[in-house]
Amino acid sequence: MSERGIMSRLRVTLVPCVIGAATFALVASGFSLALRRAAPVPDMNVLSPKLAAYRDHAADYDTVFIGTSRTFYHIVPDEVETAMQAEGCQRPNVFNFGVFGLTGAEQDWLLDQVLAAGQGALRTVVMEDPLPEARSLDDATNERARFFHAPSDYSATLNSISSFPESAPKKVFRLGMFGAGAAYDLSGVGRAAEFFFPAPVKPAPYEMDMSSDGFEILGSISSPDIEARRKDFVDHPEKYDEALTRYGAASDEAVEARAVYLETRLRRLQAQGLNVALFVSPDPEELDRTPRVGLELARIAPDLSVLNFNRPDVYPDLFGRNLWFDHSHYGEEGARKLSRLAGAELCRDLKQSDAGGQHAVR
Amino acid sequence: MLFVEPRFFLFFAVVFGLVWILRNNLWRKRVLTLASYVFYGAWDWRFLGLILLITVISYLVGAAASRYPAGDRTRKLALTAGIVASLALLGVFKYFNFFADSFVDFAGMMGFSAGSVTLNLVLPVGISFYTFQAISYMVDVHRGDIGARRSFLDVAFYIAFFPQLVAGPIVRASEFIPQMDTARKWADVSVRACLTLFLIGFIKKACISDNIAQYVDVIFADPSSFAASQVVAGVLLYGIQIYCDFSGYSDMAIACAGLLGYKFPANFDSPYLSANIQDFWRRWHISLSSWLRDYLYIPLGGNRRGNGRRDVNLMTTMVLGGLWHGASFNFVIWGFLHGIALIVQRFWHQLVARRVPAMGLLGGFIGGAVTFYWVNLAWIFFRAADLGEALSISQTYLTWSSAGQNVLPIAVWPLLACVGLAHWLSHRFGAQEMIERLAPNRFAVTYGAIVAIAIAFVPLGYRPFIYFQF
Repeated sequence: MSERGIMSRLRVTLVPCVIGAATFALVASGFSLALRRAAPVPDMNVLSPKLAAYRDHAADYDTVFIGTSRTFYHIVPDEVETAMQAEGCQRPNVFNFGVFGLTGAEQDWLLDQVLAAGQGALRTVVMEDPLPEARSLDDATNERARFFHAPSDYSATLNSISSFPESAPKKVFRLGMFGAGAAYDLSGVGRAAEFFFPAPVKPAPYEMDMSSDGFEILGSISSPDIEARRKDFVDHPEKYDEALTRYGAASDEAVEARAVYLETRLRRLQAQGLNVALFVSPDPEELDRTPRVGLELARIAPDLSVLNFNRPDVYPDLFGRNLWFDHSHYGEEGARKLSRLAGAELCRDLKQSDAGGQHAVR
Repeated sequence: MLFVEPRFFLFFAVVFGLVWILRNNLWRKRVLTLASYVFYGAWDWRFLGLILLITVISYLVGAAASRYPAGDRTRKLALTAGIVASLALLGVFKYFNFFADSFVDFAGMMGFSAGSVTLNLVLPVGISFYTFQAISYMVDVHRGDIGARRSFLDVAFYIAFFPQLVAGPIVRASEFIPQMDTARKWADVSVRACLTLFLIGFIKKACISDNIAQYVDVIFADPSSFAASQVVAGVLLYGIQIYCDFSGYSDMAIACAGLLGYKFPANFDSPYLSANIQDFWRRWHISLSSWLRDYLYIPLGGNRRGNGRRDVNLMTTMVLGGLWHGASFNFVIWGFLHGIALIVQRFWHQLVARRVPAMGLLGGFIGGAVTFYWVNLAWIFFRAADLGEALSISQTYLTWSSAGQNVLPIAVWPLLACVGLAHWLSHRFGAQEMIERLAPNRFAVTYGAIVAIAIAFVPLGYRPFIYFQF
């Protein structure tokens, strides 16, 4: 066949394919976005019951800790309140808004919900550095991830990916996962089915005991994943010692962008008249990253409160192996110890900033 | 690996690419046979041994037929041995527990005590389908409809060809084997027709059957808690579910085979629009009903030995056809109900229909409605977990009375009306042909838009095809 013949045949085959693909993309994304507007917020375990409880009693809470599972399992509101009172602050009422695997876009959304519900009563927001974005295809395509892959979240997610202190290949991987998540969301798979064919038996919503203001002792409610993590921690003491050696280790991954990213978010909250602080939780698995991010933020924004506890040299008492439930989460004793310290430091910082501000202490 | 799963699309894309890149027919057959074993092994690789064993049996029977002349005793013996061996394998895997349990129950009723001998066997997916295909090869070769294949690969390819391997259509050896003698030509492939048929099958399975399955499941799980109108609707929904599930699979299978250059016969022809039960069986699972007719009903004597014998043959065929679906008395009753309907229709035709004037369109409508009602009554036994549940639902279906109050969270009757209307319109105006006749660019726009909307209607979660269990 001549070259012209091949080209003509290719065109005959490819043009309809391109037209079909473009039509598919347009119709699927349009249909999906229309259905998204009509769909309710999915039930997201831990997050949903916490948000519902907070909305019901928003007027009672003046201090909120927002973060990952290290906030969830590490911040005991009662201990923080007692410690702050002991340090000379008026006893606050603290709510723990720790949620497993909280990422940048999710934290933004959650902050919006908290600010909307807590208007008037809310004085202080303590924020943890959100986790990196999707770590696997499942992380990018589950129901919760899908909710947070709305076009309005793209910018927050891309900011989080670009600022996260990690290598270029990892960033590319996360971009790929983000692309897969966004494509999955825009494809609209299952959206009309959920809408037009509602399940005859709805799964029971996730429920949790809110008597501790959002805190839960790790291990008090078991799951195969929690048991596996505990077993690994017990069976491999050497991993813990190994993790501690990472502290202070040289790393090529730049933390400056992340500090700027966090500062921007804290300033946005501050601009709304709130006291703000960054909470860097002890976490042996992150010893080469989060302490450096905290230090960098303290350097570029000395007026901001940075509760940088992931430093074994400064807080050796927080790194006894007996305090840990698994390789990156405390058991009850560790959580209480850390919460007392966090309350005391937060109060000190707020009193300092209160010299020039009016929001720190009621 | 389901036809509606992303991994199947990947698998098919690779196979499709390889087949059309290769020019040599032998290599194409090798690739397709290997791909078919990969496809089957994706369920459970252990059953590859079973399919290979049935292939070896079929090949040896074919070899015997080519060695001995027609009418030779050894040739007949080889065929009998081959069929018995194939059915024995099917019997062990599919029916052993059923007959053993039935024997123990029967012995108990007679006052004897018999220990349970249930085997803990997993039913190999699609065993009934490929066993029937193997028998088709042996019988067709024996009858001289086709020549025995000298190449083992040909027999293996025919039995294992993946589009029809696990849930049909049951393709006759005499229809399929001649196609493998020459390299298929891309120019002969009607791409738009195949793509359209695949999409229609996909919509039937993933968008209709899988969505309504959840309602059928809850109603059949606890029928007494639902209002009568909901139970009746649930039965009709099951009728739609099984039609869309199975005919959807068949459509996709035919389309996949077509894209690879092979033609399968149609398996469904809008059966719920049938005017009577005989018509229904000409339009429902056509490959099975014609297989049963040609390989069972006619060898039993068919209608050549008087009316009484014909009715016995008819009932035997339908009951065995029911049992083919599964080892349970429910399937036997399902076949029995269809057998009864076919016999009653014959009586009606002989005694009444000839003596009253034809009622034209109205007669067709009434006949269609009665057929639809009866077919759905029979589906209750097909779907119910046990006989007690089937009888309870049948009672509600026939009397429209139930103490239950529950209702489904959808407007089920309007949904049924919509699906029925869409089916009739599509049949009446030939939606499939309309789409495939579009010019390439218009076809692309239409196809892209329909796929986009269809995908939004695919429920999340895994739902295998109903007929995989057979």
